[in-house]
Amino acid sequence: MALINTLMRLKEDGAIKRFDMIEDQKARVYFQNNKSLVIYMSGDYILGITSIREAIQDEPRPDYIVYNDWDRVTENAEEEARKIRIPVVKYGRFRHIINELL
Amino acid sequence: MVIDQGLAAVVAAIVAAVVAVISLVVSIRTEKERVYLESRLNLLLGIEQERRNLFYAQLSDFYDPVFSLLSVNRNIFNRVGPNSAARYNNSFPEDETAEVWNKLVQQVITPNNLKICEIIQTKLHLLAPGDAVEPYMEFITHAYAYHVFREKTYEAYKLFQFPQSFFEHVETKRDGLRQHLEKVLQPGNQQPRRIKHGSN
Repeated sequence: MALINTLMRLKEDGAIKRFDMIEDQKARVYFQNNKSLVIYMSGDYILGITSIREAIQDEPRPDYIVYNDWDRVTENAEEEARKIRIPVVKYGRFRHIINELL
Repeated sequence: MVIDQGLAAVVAAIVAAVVAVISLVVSIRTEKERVYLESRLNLLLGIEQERRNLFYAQLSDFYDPVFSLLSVNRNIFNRVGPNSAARYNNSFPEDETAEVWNKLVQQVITPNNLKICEIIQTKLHLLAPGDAVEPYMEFITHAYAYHVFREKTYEAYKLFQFPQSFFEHVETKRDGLRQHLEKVLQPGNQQPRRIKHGSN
């Protein structure tokens, strides 16, 4: 729910060209320059270590784990994400990253 | 038959005395009954007044404040909370709405939760007959856990979610109490019910 809404908004804003849902919480997004990224967004309001493990449980591995302003990230989740080298970023920061990629 | 005048006077005096004694006894009995009924009436009026006072206290010191504080929290949660339509329908800037939510949590929801905890902890004796303590204890546990969770995020918070249907529980009990109070205050119910006559 959270991910599809976020992707729809990015598409409406023209920040992405299209997206493919891989699962409810994971999607591949394509940019105008044909580059693509896999993002994971938990449907849960608390982003804990469980969410991080779920994100890498199945292929493809996400390039970014994105969360919204309403969501909260536990310290353990941040630490786990650092260990597996996947950036955990807030939606606003992710928009900034997209702008840099374009 | 000739009745002696002196004897007749004695008989008349005795009859008059008996009548006087009987009327005195009746009068004493009547007075005693009146005093008894009056004290019983006062007692019943006192009990009725106590009952009304208890209903008022249950509503004004417990159910009304708990209900109104919960209502405010619920309204905020429904309008700008994590599951609100405002979050998903893009009608407002997301970061701004989230900031409003976070500020309202800090300045309204958490203080309201703590106020509710205080009321429950100090006024539990005002719980309506038949109301259960458990939902209130569940709420207190949630409220304190949420307070800690807002200071530092931890996944185990999922174990302390807001108790399902707590708001509806309080609302139902409050409505029941209000209806009961309205019934008690109806003109026909102002007088105490049944006064038993007889034995004293």
